[in-house]
Amino acid sequence: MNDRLDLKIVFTGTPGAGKTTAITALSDEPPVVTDVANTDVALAKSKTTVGLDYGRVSLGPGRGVRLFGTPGQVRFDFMWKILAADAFGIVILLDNSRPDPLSDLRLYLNTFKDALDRSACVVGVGRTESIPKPAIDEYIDVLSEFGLVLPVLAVDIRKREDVLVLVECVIALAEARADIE
Amino acid sequence: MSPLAHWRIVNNTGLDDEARLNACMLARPIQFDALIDALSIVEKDILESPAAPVHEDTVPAALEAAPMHVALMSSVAATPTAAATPSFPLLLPLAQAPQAIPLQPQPPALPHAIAQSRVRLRRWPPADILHSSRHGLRLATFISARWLKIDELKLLSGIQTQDCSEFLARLHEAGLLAVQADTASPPAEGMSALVTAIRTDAASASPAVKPPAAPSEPRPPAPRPSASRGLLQALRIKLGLFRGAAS
Repeated sequence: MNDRLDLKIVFTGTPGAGKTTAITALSDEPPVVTDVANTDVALAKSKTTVGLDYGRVSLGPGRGVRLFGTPGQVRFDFMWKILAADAFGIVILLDNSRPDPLSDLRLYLNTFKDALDRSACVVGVGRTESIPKPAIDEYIDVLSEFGLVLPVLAVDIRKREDVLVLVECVIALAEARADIE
Repeated sequence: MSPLAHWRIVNNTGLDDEARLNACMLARPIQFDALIDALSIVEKDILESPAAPVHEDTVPAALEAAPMHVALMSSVAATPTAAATPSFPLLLPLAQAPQAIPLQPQPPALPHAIAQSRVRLRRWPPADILHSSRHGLRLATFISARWLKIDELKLLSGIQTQDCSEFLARLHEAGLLAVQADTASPPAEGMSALVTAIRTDAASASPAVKPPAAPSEPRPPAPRPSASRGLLQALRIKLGLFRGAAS
């Protein structure tokens, strides 16, 4: 009998949006990362994730929440669906300073369309203070195009409390969708 | 209507101004909400106690005597004059604290018909509505995922009916609520009946956060629990998140 009981939350989103940072903020242990030196001049960062990030929040013997971060770049998109399989929560992290962040959101919504039917999904948008456009309302418009009503929050992923707010939303969504036991 | 005030009490002994400011900063959502919840309970006890009445222009004697500064965080007055609210320093000596600074207008009343119906978000609310209630994010998240009556929302979220009602009223006023007439079985009484009602409603919840179906449309099949409630609650405890939800 398998006495392990794990949940899985996947952090996905554009390169540099803070997926590794979010997992680091939550994980009990330093996360396993697969960062390598960045060769993409479009990314203003020295390292980027090419495989996955992994962290874990222990909830007691055999119980915990696994935290996975997807690689950001689209050429690694084959990893996205693999990691999202059986996730109870998906956090989409976007970067408002990207050239077309609304298209980024559309990309992730299309990619995770099937997973959204069974996972609690939240959208976090970073760098809205320095780059106010597009406004959060425009992200909500994009979700409406897909017939979705999801939490969309401006976040500074460097702040642990902002990461916790995203997780809070994931948990609340999961609670709302679960039957009363 | 009696004004209510939330007081933040700061022990400033031995601290310079900057350290004192840092000391009184609370991180949302954990410490801040927990403190406000605790103070709300104390405040209610004080207001209801005949031995220690609180009037608009007085504070409890115990506070007056204490060697501390009081920072006025927020207050609610009877008239919605938020635009005229003067700015004031974060920390004020007790004698200089304004008596009643209105911050928000009175919340709109929730129409009775909506209070008796299941509701769901049409669209994620803008930040000003979301933050009009300290539980706005949590409440909006619940009704973004499924149709809920106000009692069911209270049971699932662990948030008081009054807070639920006020927030739903704001959403309704902004046109963000879809309303579904209650077609469930005849109402029963008590908590078990409420749980039964929610179980019944599980059959009406959509399998994902799809836009609300029109009331006349058939209800989609029930979602199966995607995660153990016990684990979710354990995760809340581990991360120090709001723990009001039913376990």
